Amino acid sequence: MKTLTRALLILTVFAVLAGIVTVSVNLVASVAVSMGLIDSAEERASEEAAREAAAQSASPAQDEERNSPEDFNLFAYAARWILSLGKDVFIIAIPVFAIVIPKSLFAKLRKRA
Amino acid sequence: MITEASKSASSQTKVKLWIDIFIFIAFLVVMEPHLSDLPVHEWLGLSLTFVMVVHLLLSWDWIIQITKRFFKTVGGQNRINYILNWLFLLDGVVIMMSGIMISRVALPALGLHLTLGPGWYKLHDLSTNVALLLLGVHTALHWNWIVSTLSRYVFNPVLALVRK
Repeated sequence: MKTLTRALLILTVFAVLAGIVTVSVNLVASVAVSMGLIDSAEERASEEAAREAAAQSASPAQDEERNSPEDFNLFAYAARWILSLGKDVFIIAIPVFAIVIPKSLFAKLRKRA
Repeated sequence: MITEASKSASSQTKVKLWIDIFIFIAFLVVMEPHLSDLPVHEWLGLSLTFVMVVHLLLSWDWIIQITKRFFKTVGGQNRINYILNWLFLLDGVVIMMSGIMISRVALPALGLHLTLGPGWYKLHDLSTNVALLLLGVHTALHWNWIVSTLSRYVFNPVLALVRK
């Protein structure tokens, strides 16, 4: 019962924050649309639909060829996974090293002093 | 009585460790939608929300303790950690909401079709990149716990098995 109450409390915080985020984004977007800084949702949707229709009518066979299973290269797929995950881990590692190494150095210096 | 309490704390730490490892791996997979495919990206991303609730439940005592003492006697690192965790939560909510808004698989599968406002794609990209950096800082601030728990529950048992 205690756990359920806590979970509900966390979900409520999620919901409140989600509401605030949604309202703020929509507010900013509507102000930007009214000022002419960006296109409205309807304009973007119709533009995207037109672009997709043009792309489909231009080369349907080419798309099928490109996505055919014969083109699938397991080695290239694995290499892309490793490179992408490596990139993400590297980005995460930057703040880790930037914080952990100076912290441990400070701790050692403090011990010596 | 003491052994029972320490056993319970130890098993909770173990659960927390495995959940954190799952969150970390799932986060890395979710970060690459062009490789993992859109359905995996969306469903795994949505399920991460519920795993995050479990993660928060397991840290409940710490959250309550720091919330109560935040303006009184909280040390520097705990204070930074607490603020960072709130930022991380806010960023996670932004990722979740923008992901729901731009969903092409999960939400239509549930029979929901949203009218997309401008800016959600960019917001989703931006908030995930921020999350990557926040995860780095979050990991750095919990580095001692991560190293000690991993060596206690993963490395030492594996080494003991190898030595046998």
